[in-house]
Amino acid sequence: MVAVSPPAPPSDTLAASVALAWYAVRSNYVLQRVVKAIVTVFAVATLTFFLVRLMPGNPIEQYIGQLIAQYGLPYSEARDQAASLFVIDLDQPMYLQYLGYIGKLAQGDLGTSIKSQGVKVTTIIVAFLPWTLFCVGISLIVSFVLGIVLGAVMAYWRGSVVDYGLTMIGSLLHSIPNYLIAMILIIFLGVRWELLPVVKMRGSMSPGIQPGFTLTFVLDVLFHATLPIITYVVTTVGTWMLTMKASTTATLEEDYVSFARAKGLSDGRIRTAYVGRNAILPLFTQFTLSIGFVFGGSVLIESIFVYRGIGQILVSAVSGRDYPVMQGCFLITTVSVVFANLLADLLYGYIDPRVRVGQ
Amino acid sequence: MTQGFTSGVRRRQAIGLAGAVLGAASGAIPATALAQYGMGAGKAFNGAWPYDMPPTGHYNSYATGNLNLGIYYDLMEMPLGMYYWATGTWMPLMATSWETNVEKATFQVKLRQGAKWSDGSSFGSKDVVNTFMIQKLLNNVVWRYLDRIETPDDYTVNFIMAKPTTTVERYVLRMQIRPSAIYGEWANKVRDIVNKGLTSDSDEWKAVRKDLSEFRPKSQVVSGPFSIDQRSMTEAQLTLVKNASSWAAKNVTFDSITLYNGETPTVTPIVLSKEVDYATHGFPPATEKAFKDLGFRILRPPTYAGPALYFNYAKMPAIAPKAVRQAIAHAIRREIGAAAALGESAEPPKFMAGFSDRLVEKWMTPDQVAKLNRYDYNLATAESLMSGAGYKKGSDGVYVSPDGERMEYEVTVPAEFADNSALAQAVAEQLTAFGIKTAVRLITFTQLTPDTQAGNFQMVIQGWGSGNPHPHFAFVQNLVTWNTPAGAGPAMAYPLIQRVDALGGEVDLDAMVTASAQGLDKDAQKDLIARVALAYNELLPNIPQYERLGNNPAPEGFRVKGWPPVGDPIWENSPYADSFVIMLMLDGTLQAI
Amino acid sequence: MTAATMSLIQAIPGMGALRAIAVTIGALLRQPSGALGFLGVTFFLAMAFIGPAFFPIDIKPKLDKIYLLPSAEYPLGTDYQGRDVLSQIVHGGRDIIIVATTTALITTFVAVTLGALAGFLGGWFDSIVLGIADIILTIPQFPLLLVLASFVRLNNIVLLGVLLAALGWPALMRAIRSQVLSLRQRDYVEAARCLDLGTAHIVFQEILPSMSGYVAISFTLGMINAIFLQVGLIFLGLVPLTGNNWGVMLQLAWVRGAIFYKNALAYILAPVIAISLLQLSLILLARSLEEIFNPRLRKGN
Repeated sequence: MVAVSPPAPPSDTLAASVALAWYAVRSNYVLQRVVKAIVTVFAVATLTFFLVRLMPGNPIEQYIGQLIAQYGLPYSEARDQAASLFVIDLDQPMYLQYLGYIGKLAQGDLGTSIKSQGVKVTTIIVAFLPWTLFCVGISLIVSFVLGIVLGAVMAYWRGSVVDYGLTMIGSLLHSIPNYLIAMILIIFLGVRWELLPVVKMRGSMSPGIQPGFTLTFVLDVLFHATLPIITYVVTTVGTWMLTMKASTTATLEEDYVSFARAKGLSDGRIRTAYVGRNAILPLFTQFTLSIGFVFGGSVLIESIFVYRGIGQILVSAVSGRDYPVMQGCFLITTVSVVFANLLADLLYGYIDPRVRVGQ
Repeated sequence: MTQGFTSGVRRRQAIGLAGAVLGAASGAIPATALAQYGMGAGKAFNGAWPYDMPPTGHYNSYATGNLNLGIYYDLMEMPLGMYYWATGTWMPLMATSWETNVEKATFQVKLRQGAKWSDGSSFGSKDVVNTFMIQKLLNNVVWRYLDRIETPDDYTVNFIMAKPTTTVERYVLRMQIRPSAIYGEWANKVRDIVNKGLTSDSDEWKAVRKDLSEFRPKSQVVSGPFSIDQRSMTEAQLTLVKNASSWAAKNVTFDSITLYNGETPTVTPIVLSKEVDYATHGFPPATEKAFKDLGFRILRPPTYAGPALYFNYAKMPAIAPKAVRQAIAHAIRREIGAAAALGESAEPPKFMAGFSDRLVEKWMTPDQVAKLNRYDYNLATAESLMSGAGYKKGSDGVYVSPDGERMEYEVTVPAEFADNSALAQAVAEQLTAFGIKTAVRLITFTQLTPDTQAGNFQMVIQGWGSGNPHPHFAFVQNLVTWNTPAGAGPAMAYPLIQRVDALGGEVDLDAMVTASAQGLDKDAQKDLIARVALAYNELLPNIPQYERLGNNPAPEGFRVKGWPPVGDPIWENSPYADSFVIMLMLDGTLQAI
Repeated sequence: MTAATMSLIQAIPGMGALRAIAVTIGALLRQPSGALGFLGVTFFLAMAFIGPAFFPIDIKPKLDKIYLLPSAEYPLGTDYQGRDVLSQIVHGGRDIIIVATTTALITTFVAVTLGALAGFLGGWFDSIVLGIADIILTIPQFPLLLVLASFVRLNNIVLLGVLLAALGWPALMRAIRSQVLSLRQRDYVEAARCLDLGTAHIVFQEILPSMSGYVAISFTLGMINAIFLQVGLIFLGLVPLTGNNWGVMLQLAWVRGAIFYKNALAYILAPVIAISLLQLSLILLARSLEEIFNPRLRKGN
């Protein structure tokens, strides 16, 4: 982070500050990354704004279609009903809508839902996001820890039966899509063997349970999150295992490990202090990155288990063509990916001195 | 019950603990906190209806995304009455009597006295007139016929019609009345703008509409025997609790109603686990089979509507002579398509009158009914009709019109609706065998409406009939909705001025259909309906294939008893328009165990 | 092995590709997991493209034969309309494999071309390509596909493949780019540059051939990802696909409640197992290719 001396101040103050800012950005790695992140978010916001509006059908048409499908209403009646319920102007030129959207976005306003008029998109996101974060967060940590341990075990006993068996299991789990695992869980645990009350496990908590830091609440929430968590863990642990195995194998061949062995250090110490730490490093970046991508996976899982979350709200917004809610979901996911990337970049420098940024 | 419940708790605990191992904590669930788990207090009725959770879902019953809960809405903000389809009579609810004054073109309603809202205020004419004022803001259809509403006293409301029609009766009596305590101020705002002489295209009008759609009442005030228990709401289910202060509560033996959230796939397992006493979802034949294996009774209420084969007269000139369509009707064995599509829940029409067979004898005299051609399956008749019109089969067995048009077409159908695509398949096979080569063209269901409107089809499977007891609405659907004068596009492009032999000359179908719902003289309406039906039967602008019946599972003996036997007139009710479940609950026939 | 392959390619330019493929398959068959993967993929290809000739599709609804258990007549039982499940499985792989192959082809082509050019040329071209790739990588794939899928019209499976590829190329492009960056410094590339052989020649004749193994692996991984995504979209009912396709079978089993009907086990498990086995075969194939082309990864001893 070597500071570059600012240029001599030109007479025009605006130009000066722009030039100053430019130099600051060019010279500062952190600032550079932050500016890039903001530009990316802006680009994605713009892209999704137009994309969702170009989708065939609009909120009113979708609603008419729902009325016809759900109540068997004739088209004319459904049209009259929809017309009396929706108060939206879809005819405004798109560029005006866009300017309005960006203007509000700059003030942190994500707009209001079309389907439930007047409800702020931020209110909806705040109500649904914590559930996704909770469920996916736990899964991610469990899966990561489990994968690291098993991966290291596989690497130390390379070629053994344990390694062979775990590699097969890892490949198998890695290859089955998560929604199939979810269905298999329901079919066998719930329907065939009747081990789990899958019907009662739907939703994210039981009726009448009051949120709070009570044991009852925590256990209830875990009860409902069990199946989604198992699904996430089962489908992601294979990847962590195999990556950790590869990483540990590579580390074991490094010169400093051989050196440590030659020095006569105990196996336990080599495993933890030398190999373990260095093998986990590359995985740590991956872990940070996967935080951002959990939203993608949540869509299918939440639909199957009727679990409350951002994926579920996105699917319903897509089918109802609720533009502002769709945009809000994309924005929040994009921001988390960008933020996770940024964090990974910056943290990596701290953790691994070899790649400390700033030269 | 107790046995199952405690073992359920133990299993839940075990799983919660297993989950806790994943997380961190461990311990036991205090059993008291679970007392409300999975069921409402007391004797429950379990149903299923899809809804949105707050903040998306809400209590403003005038705005989209509301928690009106479909058929169960009538138990909360009650309507003035509900209709018995078989007898054509009404079950009085918030109204006790009503009459039409023909000379004054006035529909007068007497309201129930002594009824109270759940907030303690009394129910009266102000609530009714306020409800209708807000409907005016929303351009409700009833205001096409109303001039104004007067309230001579607290329990009398006069609806003065600008365009007198018998259909106003149903529009008024089926209206759910909202509490003035919550919506009164909105009615006043509407009065203000109406008094200023503003119309629905003015900015002020639109502004009030927008404000209303964003209005979010904090709680429900109900007149009916149930209201939503906010604390019970989860993504999976919610509970309606008894409002004992309602006048209608005394006959209802249930203490609560639990509704499971979700569409067919999510609701199916709950029904299979015997947790649901009644569901309206459209269950596929296989699921129905699973229900029957469990011994569940399947109710098959008529929907008074179904799919028909529509033609595009602009794109297939060879279809223009009515003899060709009559031949097609004779050449299709309707039972095959019906069975393939929905099994027992599809009923091929025998009268081919353009409206449900169940209504035909209520609207037409036996003489008139006898004149209806039933178009029984008969290939010989079909072939002679074709040759009579000058159509000949080519060497490949496909008919060619006198103008040289080879009869090879596509029938469009949405791929996602398995029942309709099975029907299309059956129709195409039979038409091809007859000599009209037909291929099925599958499209996405969202594309069906725009493509039909734009006339972007040759043949298409679209709806016929209507869930309204007045046949006028069925003919609007069959003749007007997907046709040139009404729709945005050309659609089927069928000219509505036609020569009809049964009526002895040229008639204007559009004018006749419109007139059939006007005026207060029921006999004049019947005469018009009969004439339109005879014309439809002769012309067959489209060919109805079957009437769709519900297949609602209604297992008896778990929580509920008293479903009437097969053949009871209540089963003539449309399951959505006037739900028999609600009516049976309100009159005490359907009882808790 | 790699050295042999590479020298073969370089020795006989015309015959290079065919020989290299033959040598690679030989190497694959010598490993147990490679042989399994290769045979698995071959089996599914044969079933999807040759199988339909021997197993005519059964589309006629038979209401009296709904959800029959597996029997001699119906080895995998029947579906919700009483149709044979086995014939649907045989016919159901074709579309999925076509979409996956389309996606993998486009992804690989775009990624290799752009990645190689970006790595070799650097400068503004590199910045623009990298910028676009970063933005696409930032939007979570599946949610974006939910939106994009609405543009896919019925039976247009190639467009679905193109859409999946539009989101799939950036990751591979970045990997190719960094490989090219390192290869660029190699002696033979330097030599070619000194001879002034031109960008196209250097990139496509000198640099890319040495990455063919990597490209083959990426191609396989691209197919795996495409299958995961397309079946997910079909399962949610967001891609209007008709006919017989494992994804559609899954969706119908879900929407029509078969998953909760005990007698329907064979019907619902058939597509689940078919998809899983195809994925597993592809992964085994990819992993073995990796070991063949990248000896460093070969098992310790």
